[in-house]
Amino acid sequence: MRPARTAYASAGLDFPHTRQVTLLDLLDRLLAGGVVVKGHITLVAADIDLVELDLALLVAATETAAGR
Amino acid sequence: MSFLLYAITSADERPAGHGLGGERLETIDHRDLSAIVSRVYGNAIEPAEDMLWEFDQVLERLMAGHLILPVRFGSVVQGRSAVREMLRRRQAELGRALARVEGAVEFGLTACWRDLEEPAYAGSGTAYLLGRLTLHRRASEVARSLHPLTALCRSSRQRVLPRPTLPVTASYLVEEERSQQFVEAVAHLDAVIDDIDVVCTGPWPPYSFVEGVGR
Repeated sequence: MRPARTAYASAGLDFPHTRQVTLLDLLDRLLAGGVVVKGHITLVAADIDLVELDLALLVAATETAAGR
Repeated sequence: MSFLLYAITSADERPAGHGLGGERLETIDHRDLSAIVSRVYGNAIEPAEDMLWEFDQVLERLMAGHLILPVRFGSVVQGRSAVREMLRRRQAELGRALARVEGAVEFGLTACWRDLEEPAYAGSGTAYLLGRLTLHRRASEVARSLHPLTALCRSSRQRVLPRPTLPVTASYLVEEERSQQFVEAVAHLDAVIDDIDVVCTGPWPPYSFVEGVGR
Protein backbone atom coordinates (compact mmCIF):
# COMPACT_ATOMS: atom_id res chain seq x y z
CA MET A 1 0.00 0.00 0.00
CA ARG A 2 1.22 3.48 -0.85
CA PRO A 3 0.47 6.77 0.90
CA ALA A 4 -1.90 9.27 -0.74
CA ARG A 5 -0.32 11.21 -3.61
CA THR A 6 2.46 8.66 -4.07
CA ALA A 7 2.52 7.50 -7.69
CA TYR A 8 5.50 5.17 -7.31
CA ALA A 9 8.00 4.16 -4.63
CA SER A 10 10.94 1.76 -4.70
CA ALA A 11 10.08 -1.62 -3.23
CA GLY A 12 12.94 -1.21 -0.75
CA LEU A 13 11.36 1.82 0.94
CA ASP A 14 9.00 1.26 3.86
CA PHE A 15 5.65 3.00 4.28
CA PRO A 16 6.75 5.59 6.90
CA HIS A 17 9.71 6.66 4.78
CA THR A 18 7.63 6.95 1.61
CA ARG A 19 4.97 8.87 3.48
CA GLN A 20 7.60 11.26 4.85
CA VAL A 21 9.03 11.99 1.40
CA THR A 22 5.49 12.52 0.08
CA LEU A 23 4.73 14.92 2.93
CA LEU A 24 7.89 16.85 2.12
CA ASP A 25 6.74 17.11 -1.52
CA LEU A 26 3.38 18.42 -0.28
CA LEU A 27 5.05 21.05 1.94
CA ASP A 28 7.44 22.03 -0.83
CA ARG A 29 4.55 22.66 -3.20
CA LEU A 30 1.87 24.21 -0.97
CA LEU A 31 4.20 26.41 1.11
CA ALA A 32 6.94 27.22 -1.41
CA GLY A 33 5.28 26.82 -4.82
CA GLY A 34 2.21 28.19 -6.54
CA VAL A 35 1.20 31.72 -7.46
CA VAL A 36 2.44 34.16 -4.82
CA VAL A 37 -0.10 36.88 -4.13
CA LYS A 38 2.02 39.76 -2.95
CA GLY A 39 0.84 42.72 -0.96
CA HIS A 40 -2.59 41.45 0.01
CA ILE A 41 -1.80 38.59 2.34
CA THR A 42 -3.20 39.27 5.76
CA LEU A 43 -2.65 35.82 7.25
CA VAL A 44 0.79 34.49 6.47
CA ALA A 45 0.93 30.73 6.73
CA ALA A 46 4.67 30.19 6.71
CA ASP A 47 5.01 27.95 9.72
CA ILE A 48 8.71 27.35 9.46
CA ASP A 49 8.72 25.07 12.50
CA LEU A 50 6.53 22.56 10.69
CA VAL A 51 8.81 22.50 7.66
CA GLU A 52 11.94 22.16 9.78
CA LEU A 53 10.40 19.43 11.89
CA ASP A 54 9.53 17.43 8.82
CA LEU A 55 12.91 17.97 7.24
CA ALA A 56 14.47 16.58 10.40
CA LEU A 57 12.12 13.60 10.33
CA LEU A 58 12.89 13.02 6.68
CA VAL A 59 16.63 13.02 7.27
CA ALA A 60 16.17 10.59 10.16
CA ALA A 61 13.93 8.36 8.03
CA THR A 62 16.36 8.41 5.13
CA GLU A 63 19.25 7.51 7.38
CA THR A 64 17.27 4.68 8.95
CA ALA A 65 16.32 3.39 5.51
CA ALA A 66 19.98 3.50 4.52
CA GLY A 67 20.78 1.28 7.49
CA ARG A 68 22.85 3.75 9.47
CA MET B 1 -14.91 40.14 3.79
CA SER B 2 -11.68 38.13 3.42
CA PHE B 3 -11.14 35.46 0.78
CA LEU B 4 -8.81 32.49 0.75
CA LEU B 5 -7.40 31.93 -2.73
CA TYR B 6 -7.06 28.40 -4.11
CA ALA B 7 -6.29 28.83 -7.77
CA ILE B 8 -6.42 31.06 -10.81
CA THR B 9 -8.42 29.86 -13.77
CA SER B 10 -9.88 31.29 -16.95
CA ALA B 11 -13.21 33.04 -16.56
CA ASP B 12 -15.04 30.54 -18.77
CA GLU B 13 -14.38 27.84 -16.16
CA ARG B 14 -17.09 27.62 -13.50
CA PRO B 15 -15.80 25.41 -10.70
CA ALA B 16 -18.22 24.47 -7.94
CA GLY B 17 -17.86 22.56 -4.70
CA HIS B 18 -16.37 23.33 -1.33
CA GLY B 19 -13.10 24.56 0.07
CA LEU B 20 -11.46 24.47 3.50
CA GLY B 21 -13.91 24.02 6.35
CA GLY B 22 -16.73 23.20 3.93
CA GLU B 23 -16.98 26.83 2.75
CA ARG B 24 -18.56 27.14 -0.67
CA LEU B 25 -16.17 27.93 -3.54
CA GLU B 26 -16.79 31.14 -5.44
CA THR B 27 -15.10 32.84 -8.34
CA ILE B 28 -14.03 36.47 -8.62
CA ASP B 29 -13.45 37.57 -12.22
CA HIS B 30 -11.49 40.18 -14.06
CA ARG B 31 -11.94 39.96 -17.84
CA ASP B 32 -10.80 36.49 -18.95
CA LEU B 33 -9.27 35.49 -15.60
CA SER B 34 -10.94 34.17 -12.49
CA ALA B 35 -9.76 33.55 -8.93
CA ILE B 36 -11.24 30.54 -7.14
CA VAL B 37 -11.85 31.55 -3.51
CA SER B 38 -13.82 30.79 -0.38
CA ARG B 39 -14.82 33.13 2.42
CA VAL B 40 -12.61 33.23 5.52
CA TYR B 41 -13.80 34.06 8.98
CA GLY B 42 -11.32 34.75 11.76
CA ASN B 43 -7.73 33.53 11.71
CA ALA B 44 -8.33 29.87 11.00
CA ILE B 45 -5.78 29.29 8.23
CA GLU B 46 -2.83 27.44 9.70
CA PRO B 47 -0.44 25.10 7.94
CA ALA B 48 -1.22 22.11 10.14
CA GLU B 49 -0.70 18.87 8.25
CA ASP B 50 -4.42 18.01 8.16
CA MET B 51 -5.27 21.38 6.69
CA LEU B 52 -2.55 21.11 4.05
CA TRP B 53 -3.95 17.75 2.94
CA GLU B 54 -7.48 19.19 2.94
CA PHE B 55 -6.30 22.09 0.77
CA ASP B 56 -4.57 19.59 -1.51
CA GLN B 57 -7.82 17.62 -1.87
CA VAL B 58 -9.69 20.77 -2.88
CA LEU B 59 -7.04 21.42 -5.54
CA GLU B 60 -7.11 17.79 -6.67
CA ARG B 61 -10.86 18.06 -7.28
CA LEU B 62 -10.44 21.38 -9.08
CA MET B 63 -7.66 20.13 -11.38
CA ALA B 64 -9.76 17.12 -12.40
CA GLY B 65 -12.18 19.28 -14.35
CA HIS B 66 -10.53 22.64 -14.85
CA LEU B 67 -7.42 24.37 -16.11
CA ILE B 68 -5.92 25.88 -12.95
CA LEU B 69 -2.82 27.60 -11.62
CA PRO B 70 -2.51 26.74 -7.92
CA VAL B 71 -2.06 29.63 -5.47
CA ARG B 72 0.35 29.24 -2.55
CA PHE B 73 -1.34 27.94 0.61
CA GLY B 74 -2.56 30.59 3.04
CA SER B 75 -3.07 33.46 0.59
CA VAL B 76 -5.87 35.53 2.07
CA VAL B 77 -6.97 38.73 0.35
CA GLN B 78 -9.29 41.32 1.84
CA GLY B 79 -12.21 42.31 -0.35
CA ARG B 80 -13.38 41.35 -3.83
CA SER B 81 -11.91 44.51 -5.32
CA ALA B 82 -8.41 43.60 -4.07
CA VAL B 83 -8.72 40.18 -5.74
CA ARG B 84 -9.87 41.84 -9.00
CA GLU B 85 -7.04 44.36 -8.76
CA MET B 86 -4.50 41.52 -8.39
CA LEU B 87 -5.94 39.78 -11.48
CA ARG B 88 -5.90 43.06 -13.43
CA ARG B 89 -2.31 43.85 -12.50
CA ARG B 90 -1.01 40.39 -13.35
CA GLN B 91 -3.31 39.58 -16.24
CA ALA B 92 -0.60 39.03 -18.86
CA GLU B 93 1.68 36.98 -16.60
CA LEU B 94 -1.12 34.75 -15.29
CA GLY B 95 -2.60 34.27 -18.76
CA ARG B 96 0.79 33.12 -20.11
CA ALA B 97 1.27 30.77 -17.16
CA LEU B 98 -2.18 29.20 -17.71
CA ALA B 99 -1.37 28.61 -21.37
CA ARG B 100 1.96 27.03 -20.40
CA VAL B 101 0.40 24.43 -18.07
CA GLU B 102 -2.76 23.64 -20.06
CA GLY B 103 -3.28 19.88 -20.37
CA ALA B 104 -0.34 19.08 -18.09
CA VAL B 105 0.17 17.88 -14.51
CA GLU B 106 3.16 17.95 -12.20
CA PHE B 107 5.08 14.97 -10.82
CA GLY B 108 7.69 15.15 -8.07
CA LEU B 109 10.69 12.86 -7.89
CA THR B 110 12.95 12.35 -4.88
CA ALA B 111 16.03 10.14 -5.09
CA CYS B 112 17.48 8.79 -1.82
CA TRP B 113 20.80 6.98 -1.45
CA ARG B 114 20.25 3.25 -1.09
CA ASP B 115 23.46 2.83 0.90
CA LEU B 116 24.56 6.15 2.25
CA GLU B 117 28.26 6.12 2.97
CA GLU B 118 29.39 8.25 5.86
CA PRO B 119 30.88 11.38 4.30
CA ALA B 120 34.35 12.15 5.58
CA TYR B 121 33.24 14.82 8.02
CA ALA B 122 35.87 13.83 10.57
CA GLY B 123 39.58 14.25 10.06
CA SER B 124 41.26 16.95 8.10
CA GLY B 125 39.59 19.75 6.18
CA THR B 126 40.93 18.21 3.01
CA ALA B 127 39.28 14.85 3.77
CA TYR B 128 36.00 16.65 4.45
CA LEU B 129 36.15 18.54 1.18
CA LEU B 130 37.08 15.42 -0.77
CA GLY B 131 34.14 13.62 0.86
CA ARG B 132 31.76 16.39 -0.18
CA LEU B 133 33.22 16.41 -3.66
CA THR B 134 32.72 12.67 -4.05
CA LEU B 135 29.14 12.95 -2.81
CA HIS B 136 28.44 15.77 -5.25
CA ARG B 137 29.97 13.83 -8.14
CA ARG B 138 27.82 10.78 -7.32
CA ALA B 139 24.72 12.98 -7.06
CA SER B 140 25.51 14.52 -10.45
CA GLU B 141 25.74 11.01 -11.90
CA VAL B 142 22.30 10.23 -10.48
CA ALA B 143 20.98 13.46 -12.03
CA ARG B 144 22.41 12.42 -15.40
CA SER B 145 20.90 8.94 -15.20
CA LEU B 146 17.47 10.50 -14.59
CA HIS B 147 17.85 12.55 -17.76
CA PRO B 148 15.62 10.27 -19.94
CA LEU B 149 12.61 11.60 -17.98
CA THR B 150 13.06 15.05 -19.51
CA ALA B 151 12.14 13.60 -22.92
CA LEU B 152 8.71 12.69 -21.51
CA CYS B 153 7.86 16.09 -20.06
CA ARG B 154 7.13 19.61 -21.22
CA SER B 155 9.38 21.22 -18.64
CA SER B 156 11.42 20.17 -15.60
CA ARG B 157 13.34 21.53 -12.63
CA GLN B 158 16.04 19.55 -10.91
CA ARG B 159 18.06 20.14 -7.74
CA VAL B 160 21.28 18.20 -7.27
CA LEU B 161 22.16 17.27 -3.69
CA PRO B 162 19.67 19.59 -1.92
CA ARG B 163 20.68 17.66 1.23
CA PRO B 164 23.51 15.17 1.76
CA THR B 165 20.90 12.39 2.11
CA LEU B 166 19.08 13.31 -1.13
CA PRO B 167 21.12 13.19 -4.35
CA VAL B 168 18.32 14.66 -6.49
CA THR B 169 14.88 16.21 -6.13
CA ALA B 170 12.98 17.19 -9.25
CA SER B 171 9.64 18.40 -10.62
CA TYR B 172 8.31 17.49 -14.05
CA LEU B 173 5.48 19.08 -16.02
CA VAL B 174 3.95 16.14 -17.89
CA GLU B 175 1.16 15.99 -20.48
CA GLU B 176 -1.80 14.52 -18.64
CA GLU B 177 -2.21 11.67 -21.12
CA ARG B 178 1.46 10.72 -20.70
CA SER B 179 1.17 10.38 -16.90
CA GLN B 180 1.12 6.60 -16.94
CA GLN B 181 4.04 6.45 -19.34
CA PHE B 182 6.00 8.84 -17.11
CA VAL B 183 5.44 6.78 -13.95
CA GLU B 184 6.43 3.62 -15.84
CA ALA B 185 9.63 5.34 -16.97
CA VAL B 186 10.39 6.22 -13.33
CA ALA B 187 9.89 2.56 -12.36
CA HIS B 188 12.20 1.47 -15.18
CA LEU B 189 14.95 3.90 -14.12
CA ASP B 190 14.54 2.76 -10.51
CA ALA B 191 15.22 -0.78 -11.68
CA VAL B 192 18.35 0.11 -13.65
CA ILE B 193 20.00 2.70 -11.36
CA ASP B 194 21.74 0.78 -8.61
CA ASP B 195 22.55 3.19 -5.83
CA ILE B 196 19.24 5.04 -5.30
CA ASP B 197 15.67 4.48 -4.17
CA VAL B 198 13.01 6.80 -5.56
CA VAL B 199 9.65 8.21 -4.58
CA CYS B 200 7.50 9.72 -7.33
CA THR B 201 4.56 11.85 -6.19
CA GLY B 202 1.64 13.27 -8.10
CA PRO B 203 -0.15 14.13 -10.22
CA TRP B 204 -0.08 17.57 -8.55
CA PRO B 205 -1.42 20.84 -9.88
CA PRO B 206 1.52 22.64 -11.53
CA TYR B 207 2.85 24.29 -8.33
CA SER B 208 6.44 24.41 -9.58
CA PHE B 209 5.60 25.79 -13.02
CA VAL B 210 3.58 28.92 -12.32
CA GLU B 211 6.48 31.13 -13.36
CA GLY B 212 8.60 31.12 -16.47
CA VAL B 213 11.91 30.57 -14.70
CA GLY B 214 12.82 29.24 -11.27
CA ARG B 215 10.71 30.19 -8.33
